[in-house]
Amino acid sequence: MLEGLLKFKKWMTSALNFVLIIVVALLVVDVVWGVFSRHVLGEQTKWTEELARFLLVWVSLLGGAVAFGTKGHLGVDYFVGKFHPETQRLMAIVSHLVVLFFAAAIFVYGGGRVVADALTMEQTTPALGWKMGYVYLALPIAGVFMIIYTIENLVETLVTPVGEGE
Amino acid sequence: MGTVALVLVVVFVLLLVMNVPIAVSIALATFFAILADGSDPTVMVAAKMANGVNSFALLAIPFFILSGHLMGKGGLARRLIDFAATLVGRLPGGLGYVNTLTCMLFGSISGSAAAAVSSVGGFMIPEMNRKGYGREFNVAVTTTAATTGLLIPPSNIMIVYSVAAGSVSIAAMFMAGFLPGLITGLFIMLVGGVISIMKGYKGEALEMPRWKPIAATSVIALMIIQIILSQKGLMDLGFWMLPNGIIWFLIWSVVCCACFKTFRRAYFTLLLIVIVIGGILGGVFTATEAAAIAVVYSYLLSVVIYREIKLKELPQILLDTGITTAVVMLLIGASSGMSWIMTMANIPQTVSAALLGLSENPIIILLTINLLLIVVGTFMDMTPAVLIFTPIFLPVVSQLGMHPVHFGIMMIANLCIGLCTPPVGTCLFIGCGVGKTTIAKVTGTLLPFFGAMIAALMVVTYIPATSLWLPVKTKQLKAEDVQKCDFMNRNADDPVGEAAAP
Amino acid sequence: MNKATSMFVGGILVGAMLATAGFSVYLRGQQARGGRQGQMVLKLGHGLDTGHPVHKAMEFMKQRIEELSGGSVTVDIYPSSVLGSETQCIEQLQNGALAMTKTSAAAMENFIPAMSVYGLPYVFRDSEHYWSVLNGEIGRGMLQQGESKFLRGLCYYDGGSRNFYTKEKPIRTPEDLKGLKIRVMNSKTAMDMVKAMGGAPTPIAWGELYSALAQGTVDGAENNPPSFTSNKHYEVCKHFTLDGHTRIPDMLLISSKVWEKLDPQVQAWVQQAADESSEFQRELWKKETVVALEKAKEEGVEVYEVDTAAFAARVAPMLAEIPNPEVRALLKQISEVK
Ligand code: NA
Ligand code: NA
Repeated sequence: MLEGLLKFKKWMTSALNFVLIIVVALLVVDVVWGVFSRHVLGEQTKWTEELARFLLVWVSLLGGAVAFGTKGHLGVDYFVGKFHPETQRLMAIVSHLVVLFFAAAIFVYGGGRVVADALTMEQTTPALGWKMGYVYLALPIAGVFMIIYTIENLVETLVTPVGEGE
Repeated sequence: MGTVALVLVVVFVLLLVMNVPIAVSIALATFFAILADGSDPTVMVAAKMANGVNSFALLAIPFFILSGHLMGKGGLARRLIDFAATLVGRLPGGLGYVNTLTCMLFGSISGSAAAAVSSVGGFMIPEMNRKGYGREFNVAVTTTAATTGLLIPPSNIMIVYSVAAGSVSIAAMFMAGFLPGLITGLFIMLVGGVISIMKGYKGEALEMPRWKPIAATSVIALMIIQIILSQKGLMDLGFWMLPNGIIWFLIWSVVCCACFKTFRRAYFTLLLIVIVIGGILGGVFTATEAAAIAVVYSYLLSVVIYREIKLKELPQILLDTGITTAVVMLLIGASSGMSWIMTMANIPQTVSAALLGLSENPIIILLTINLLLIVVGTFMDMTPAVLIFTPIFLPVVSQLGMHPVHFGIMMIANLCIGLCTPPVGTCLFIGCGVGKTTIAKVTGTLLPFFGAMIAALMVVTYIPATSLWLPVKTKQLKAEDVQKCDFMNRNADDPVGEAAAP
Repeated sequence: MNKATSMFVGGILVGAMLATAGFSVYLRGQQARGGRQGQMVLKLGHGLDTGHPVHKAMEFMKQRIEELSGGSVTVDIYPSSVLGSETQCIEQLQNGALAMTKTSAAAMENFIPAMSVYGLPYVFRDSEHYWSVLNGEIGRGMLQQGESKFLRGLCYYDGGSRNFYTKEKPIRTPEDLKGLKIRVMNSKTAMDMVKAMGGAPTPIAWGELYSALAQGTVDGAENNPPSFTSNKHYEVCKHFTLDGHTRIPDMLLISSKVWEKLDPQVQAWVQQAADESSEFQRELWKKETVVALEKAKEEGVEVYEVDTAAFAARVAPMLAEIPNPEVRALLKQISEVK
């Protein structure tokens, strides 16, 4: 059971990483193509700018979720560092719970409603003519990954004996 | 204002103190403030998280991060160090100058200070340790000098500022940062030089072939001719793309390559500066496109030409870029929500009124703002600080008649100091890591360097021309708008006059 | 810090956090129970600066609403995109976070496809035709179109007629446009139009346009005379062609979610003030356009009167091939208005 979960988590992380790598590479190609089309083909391709912005939204939100897994987000550990190790652990647990609330309320619930609104209102994008709801879909997806990674961090904090790690 | 502001500030500060990630603290402070205001926060904050980063200008940030990664691993920093050594290595305390100059050169091809500390410091600090320079001195020089890269274009933080401030031109910000970056670098060299002389650090014994003085004289002669020509109006500073600009550029390249072997080796690295800045000034591409071009260029240089990066390392570099970008972007998305609720609750106006009520004198008000920002900088990283305080302070200084570009440069120069101060300083952390020392040991040595940075900050704050002269010369700002923004003789009632998109 | 003290401080932190969160929930409950004391405030966000005639018209509307309601209702105006871009403000109306916004009909295209009719070239014969359509049955009908998407149109503002202006080469006939890079708004219709006329459409952010023109990234742009002069594009572009290819109106919108909560009396006041502000803005705009063209001439800009029929002929095939049947029908109805 636990082994299956770990396997799934490993698979999920590498899939997410793969998506990030592809999207970052696509971003470069897209913008360079825009410059190329303007200077060499004589006319700027219509959709490069818009596609680039949407890819950036996806990189930011999905990458933001991955960064919870790699503990890449900046925090101020100065004050907490002054606490007794046991309190430090308690504060770490509180912090993970706060992140869980953030991911669930804003990304999954709020993001889900943003997607639903954009889809029912039939909002479209100017150049590509896509449904804006699909662009916003990155919000709830990233939210789910954030929850998974944060639960993992929480479990890790709970099983690590006081005074070690962190 | 009132209760909404109270909720916003209290939640934010409490979460920060509890070591909750800053982006989450900002988003949740916004969440509860909107709740207190009576609207539905879930949809609003979520939409802002996505829309706040839905911007073409911000796209330059991942590109500069990526090209920074490629240059750092691709041996480009080494070439710049060798070049800097030929220029200033012989002076007493030579390696200190070499270090500072390399950081400035590296800054002019990279958008982040952290990249400079790890790339330049990673090589220079061990080298200086070996040559008998004090370990703390080496770390102090590198950390402070690396921040000049945020003032010398290209610079990611300037892009963040442009977005936070609304329609401020990125190209104008880039030009405005040049001189302040040079001034800060010079002040750091000055302090480093004095310390070196006091401690008796020697210069490098570099060989000096007999024809070198002749070559050096011809370079100086060339420079004088060019200055005379530009004074006579035969050539202006926006000359990059003009035919005579290209001819001058070629002459310079040939002469310098002939004179200095190290210049020849660093040539293609230095050429990147010309491509990025020249391309933006010449109207060939926007800042974002320039950044994408920089990626392609540094890829070709480090993977295809220098071959110091293997193709199979590339996915990891792309992934690192994606994650680093996302960390910054999540902050930007969260902050755009925060500035929305602050505006809705009229917080900027209230702070503005309070600050303007403090004194009539722009000198005092700017001093107060600088002091506040230094305090902020000691605890907060640069990006969130810019995102949170730009919408609060910009209306105040606009009232004084300060140009938004000038204010942006001042704010960045100020927060650069914060990057090197304990307890929270990104550059300081990396510097201490690379130099294998501790923050406590370095702090004393850092003090004179802080002095240099504060002196430079004062110059930048109170002499608007340091920021505004070059953008006007390169036609990135209108001379008329800048004259209107001379805050030392304030009377303009609408100094900004930036029109929004129709 | 020893264990007891740090546990105590940590507890205070967590407790204070929970208390503040609870306090904000309590405040929300108060708001929901209609706890607003005294004045009702409608928040209006838009992207123009405070010198713009549309902003002045909104100031006028604010004043009128205060007068009509005896001060019990007011409008807070947030200019210069401080609350977000046009699209973001529209989204905020849809979820009820913002009460009112001004948007160009071009930005509304992405929410209501039929709006694209306003962005098409040579739809209106002249200013009179334009206003009789907008204030007539068609225009009123279009204002109601957004109702199902929580966007209620209150009135139109004059967006003026847009014209080409160039740096080096004057445009006297459509042939002159050939090969010129012209900055357009980021809208498919605008790009298609410039392309149909023979130019190379280049979308560039409005804020970057001055330096793009100065550096020669683009050869020209298109806009109405007041925008041309207020942004000092005359410093760079010395040729202004009065071809009047599009007349894209601005619209004042209110969130249906907010509207439905208003008393019928307040609704009537808001609608009346909006209508009056529309009249006010129309007059102001007329004056500003004359002044702007005078100013441009003073600055040495050549202003060309051209045969617009030649330009219209170029875009005729584009108008004939419009895929959206609703837009095609509207186009026909508009041409029938006298
Ligand atoms: Na830089
Ligand atoms: Na600091």
